[in-house]
Amino acid sequence: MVEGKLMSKIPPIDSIRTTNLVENFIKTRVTESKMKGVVIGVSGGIDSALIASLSVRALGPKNVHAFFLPSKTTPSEDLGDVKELCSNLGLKLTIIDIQNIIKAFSEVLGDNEEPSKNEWLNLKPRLRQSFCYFFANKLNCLVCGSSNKSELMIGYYTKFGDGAADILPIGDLYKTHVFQLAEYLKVPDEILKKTPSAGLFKGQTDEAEIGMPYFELDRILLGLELFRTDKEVAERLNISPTEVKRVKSMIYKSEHKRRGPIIFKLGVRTPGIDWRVPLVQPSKF
Amino acid sequence: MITMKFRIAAAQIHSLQADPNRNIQVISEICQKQEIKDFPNTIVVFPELGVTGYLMHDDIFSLAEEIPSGPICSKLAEISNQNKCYLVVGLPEESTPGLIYNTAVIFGPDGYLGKSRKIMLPNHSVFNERRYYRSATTINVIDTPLGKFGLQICYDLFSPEITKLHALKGAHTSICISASPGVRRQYFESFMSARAMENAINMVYVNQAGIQDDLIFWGGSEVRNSSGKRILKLKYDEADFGVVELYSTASKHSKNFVPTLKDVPPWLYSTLEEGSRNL
Repeated sequence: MVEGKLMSKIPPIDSIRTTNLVENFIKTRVTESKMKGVVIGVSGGIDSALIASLSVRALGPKNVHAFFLPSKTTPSEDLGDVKELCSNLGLKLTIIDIQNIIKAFSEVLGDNEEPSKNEWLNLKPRLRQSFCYFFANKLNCLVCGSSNKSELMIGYYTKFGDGAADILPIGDLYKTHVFQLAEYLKVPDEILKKTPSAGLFKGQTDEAEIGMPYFELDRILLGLELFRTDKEVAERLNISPTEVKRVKSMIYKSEHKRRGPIIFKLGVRTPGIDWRVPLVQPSKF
Repeated sequence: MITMKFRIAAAQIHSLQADPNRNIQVISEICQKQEIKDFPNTIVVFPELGVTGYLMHDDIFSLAEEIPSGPICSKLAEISNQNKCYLVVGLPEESTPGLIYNTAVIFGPDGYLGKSRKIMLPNHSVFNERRYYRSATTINVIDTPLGKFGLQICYDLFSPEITKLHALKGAHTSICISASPGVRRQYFESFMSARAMENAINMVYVNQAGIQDDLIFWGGSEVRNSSGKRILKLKYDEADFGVVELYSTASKHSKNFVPTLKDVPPWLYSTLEEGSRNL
């Protein structure tokens, strides 16, 4: 348990041990699933760059398949950053422009694309994940998602879009720790220093949309994780209780995203609720 | 009192989930190691639910068995007999149909010696043990040719009274088998030192290692002698194995220096009972 005094600053993680644990997790899940590797959607951002680095350490570059899937709202510098990342890691990069599919979608619907509207905004990550799963099936791979704990807890991702994956190796690491680990693993400087953005519409940045810097969000989340009351978190971080309540509200509103589809219990044992089996099939059963 | 020298072989394994066949194969291979076969009086200690894996989920209902008459126990007895070793391991025990305990058993070269059931069943954080298990209703120590041993299981170590009772009932060594994931390492490591020193008793801790579902077990098994000194430490996070010698009378000598049992005020325990009932 983290001491109260440390709550004003998120304690750093042990980079070496965390790296080893995450590598082991990726390797175990791939092996136990009897798959050959992972498919990763790389965006040019820090989360997918970290995931690519960790996956290469765990599985070797031949078993990690990187896909860059830009649209017209993807910042132009992302392609160069992704190329540098993949070149450093020895990864083969596949580039597929999804704008033509968005256009086809628009034509079928008879509706013009409006990138900042939710339905169009969420379409892009959902299309990207369709590609990832297409290639995961083709290559006998798992889809390795890049969501981190900060995004997951406030629901800052697209349900069945970037949130759709077989494994989320950094899903229990706050963004603050993502920066720490990415620096430790020598992710290219351009990616490390880039302002985090989902790139779904022009000028979009994570922190503007969330309404606070990740640094502050993570401190609030950590306080709540450690069972502190709203008042205690606000006092220790010297912020308004309204900010804490706002984060809590985001947590509640996004709980539906973190769960699988909600099943209404009718039977004796219900999938996802109380019919539970291990992830791996035993040798004899 | 006869001084009994014995060896603890800490077998920190990565049990496969709901897969007793493959886990028993691993247990058997470890017990065939030369450093076990060549030395009589070696106790090979495996983790909590080492035979079945910790996360069996609902498969537990088909895996739990009567102790010692069940098929898993027959195989464990055979392994102990063939390799002339003692063997401690955890498995789910079905005492009567539909009633399951999280249990530690001990076998010797001549067969079954005894069992202890888990008392403290965690149902917080990632744990879900009360969904499946009943808590033990008694506490015991097990008489063996190597003297008396206490067996406890994982979260039992959080309750200092359990080790104290092992000591009060005459055990010279308390063996804690465990399946501890993630962030509890500091607790266990501190408790191991404290339990050994406060009771002047040898302490053995053997944990699971590796990943089961979404949990990572941290390994880090260790042995402390009765003055609290760490005399064996295994690797964190991965399977490992190590052997160390202990003496049954070491506990007696340590008690001369730290006579906490002599100084135990009995009224303290009735007050403790009263206090816990009034929570």
